[in-house]
Amino acid sequence: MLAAAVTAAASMAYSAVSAETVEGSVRSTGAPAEESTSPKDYYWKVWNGALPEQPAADTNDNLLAVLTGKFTGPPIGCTFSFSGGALDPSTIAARSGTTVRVENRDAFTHALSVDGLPGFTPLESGPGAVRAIPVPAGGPWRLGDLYYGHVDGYLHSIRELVACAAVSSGGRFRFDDVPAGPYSLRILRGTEQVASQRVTVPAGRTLQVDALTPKSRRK
Amino acid sequence: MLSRVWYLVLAVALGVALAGAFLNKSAASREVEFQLEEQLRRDRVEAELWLRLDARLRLDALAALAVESEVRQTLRNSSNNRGTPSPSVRKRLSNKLNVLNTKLEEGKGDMVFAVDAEGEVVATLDKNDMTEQRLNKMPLVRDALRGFMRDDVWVFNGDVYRMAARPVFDGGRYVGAIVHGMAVGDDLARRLGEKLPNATVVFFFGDDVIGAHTGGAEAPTRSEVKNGLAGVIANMLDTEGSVEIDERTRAIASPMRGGAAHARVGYMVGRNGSRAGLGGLFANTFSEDVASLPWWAVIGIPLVLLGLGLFLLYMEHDKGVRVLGKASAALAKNEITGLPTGELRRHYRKIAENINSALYAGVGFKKDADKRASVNLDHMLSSTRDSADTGYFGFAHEAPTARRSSVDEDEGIESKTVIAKPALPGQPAGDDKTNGVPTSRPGRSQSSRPPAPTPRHRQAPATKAAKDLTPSPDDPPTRPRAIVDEFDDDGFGDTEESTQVTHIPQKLLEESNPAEQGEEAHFREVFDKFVATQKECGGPVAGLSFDKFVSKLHAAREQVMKRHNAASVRFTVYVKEGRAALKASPVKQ
Repeated sequence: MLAAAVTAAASMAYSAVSAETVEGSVRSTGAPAEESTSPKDYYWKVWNGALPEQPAADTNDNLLAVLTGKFTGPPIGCTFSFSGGALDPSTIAARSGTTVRVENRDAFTHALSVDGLPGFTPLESGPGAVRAIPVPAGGPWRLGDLYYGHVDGYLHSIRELVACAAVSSGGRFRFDDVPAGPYSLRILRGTEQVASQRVTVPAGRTLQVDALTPKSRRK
Repeated sequence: MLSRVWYLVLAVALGVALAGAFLNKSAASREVEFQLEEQLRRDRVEAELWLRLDARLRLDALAALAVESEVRQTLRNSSNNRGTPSPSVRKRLSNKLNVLNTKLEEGKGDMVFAVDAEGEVVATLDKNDMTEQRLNKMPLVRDALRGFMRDDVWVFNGDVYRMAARPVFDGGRYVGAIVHGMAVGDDLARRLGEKLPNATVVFFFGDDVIGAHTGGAEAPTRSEVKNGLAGVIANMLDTEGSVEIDERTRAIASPMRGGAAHARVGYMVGRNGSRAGLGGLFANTFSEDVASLPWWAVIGIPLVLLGLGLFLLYMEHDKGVRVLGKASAALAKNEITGLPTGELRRHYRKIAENINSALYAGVGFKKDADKRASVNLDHMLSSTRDSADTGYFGFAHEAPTARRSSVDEDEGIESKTVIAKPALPGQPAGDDKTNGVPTSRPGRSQSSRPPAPTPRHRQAPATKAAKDLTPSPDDPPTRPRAIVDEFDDDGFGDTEESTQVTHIPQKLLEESNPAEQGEEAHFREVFDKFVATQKECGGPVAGLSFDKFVSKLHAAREQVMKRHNAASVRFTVYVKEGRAALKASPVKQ
């Protein structure tokens, strides 16, 4: 308890000294979004007959941008949630040995499951509830939902995790309150790291990172 | 032997019949199980078709909501980041959804959402407060926002809903979607169960039954199906076939098509099979089956086999018993001298041979052995025969058989015998030991008979008592007072058959003086009378010759004279049991 308080105080003091913003973007690969449903999930999926089919948008909700480096404070922005009926984003990360929190922002119950993670039991999480996942070293682990088969994601355990940021449907991401210093910017998608770049966050100004080009999806 | 083989055949036939019955039972059980399996497969196909049709009907019914102008306008104003509708607009749209939903009647949803193009819930039914929530990552909503009509199954806050969604477009572009859900419960089970007679339909969520319908008395009960739920679910994904719940109940399960299948939401159809025990072999038998039976074989073959068995039984046992019975009756009547072994087979022949041996050996009841061992006239004569088949005495079956009269019958005569019997040497006359007590010769058998007549004792010395008691010569000669105790012992107790003449009138003696010529004449007379009597009785006379007859008479006379110490013997002819018979009467004087 005391150690935590000291760590928090030090982090606040450091942040007070330098808390910068890092912005960047990920180029779209142009690949179609993965079909998360199968014909066994419905009897009917038919075109309406009036307007042409709306193409599936690449929402990038399976991308996660993380900064890793020498930072002992708590990971910045690494809280995740269920929203819109699924994990947002579906790829999440946590510092090894810490606990990651997944909040249910939906109006209905979820039951998060983590395949292969020892000591974790899937439990129902009602609307507004938070599910904490202790994350040991190792991974990644597959995430799911006992009630909704379309929920899919991965949990990464990163030893020097500093900050997390979701990637918007337009491909943009943003880290706030990042201490100045050298870091590695990584883009995670599913089980893999699809892009990385070393960055140095300057003190007193926002770092604009050039657009990253992720590797194409594995087949 | 054949009858034993027949029993073996019957046992084998019975075993084969039983084996056939049990095999038939097993085959019937398999057939019943197979039919039940096939029926359940058809049930599942029918259930799938019905659920598919139901989903389509719900999708089509949603058109009434999707084309409603207020719905389209509100969603258009909410979409494309044009801003969030005000609470009043949301409320108005919610009321509109309520009205429209009510008009769906049977297809009325338990849960209805109107979502804009971004998947945000703009309006719901009153009971589903989800405004400002997003559903854009739900596959059903996402596909609907892309222009597809689609169905799904959701687990929503602990309940299971059959979902349907269709896009809402306005002004040539997609502006949102209508999402409609109906709870899965007893009502849905009832509607599906009506399509599956005699079946029980159960909807389950995990290990819980969320809706059930029992289709009549023939269907398994809800509890029966529920008891087998865990096993059925465990096998649901591993096998396409049905699962046995109990001895006669099987069920088939299938996950419901939709995202909730991931949460082990599905339905199960259970049915009872026909009983196929030994008693249930005929449960599925129709009258046409009975009528088509080859009754000539069903009845005729067993009857033929029965007749064959009875025939074999008769030939081997009943016939032998019958022959033995008749033969024994004839033997008792003295019509035959032994059992007919030639007419018998195997054991019965052996029995008859043994009995015959015993008869010939004179074996019998011990208490009568001494009496039967006494030699009657026929035995005496037989022992002196030149051959067994010559003359009158050569026809053994024609010889009179010795019979013993009871003592009571002879009591009155015996008193006379005491008087008439000459005293034995060394024994005083009138000794009680000889009075009325027959002198027996125990243990005497055919083999112990005197081998040959000894020189005749012409006449035993007459005792004084005998002389005193000798009737006067004036006694009627036709019926001499004939009683000879020893003849009683020899089986001639009947006074008609065993007569000893103790006193013969002088006239008669003079007329039948046993000179050589007189004896010869007597024998001739006896012979002629015997032949005549035999002819009258219809008996055979072909084998009779005077010489042989006389030789037998000589032999008999010698024995009788020796045994009774008689001076002479007189033979008389009489009819006994329809045949001519001879009676030898020793003459004391």
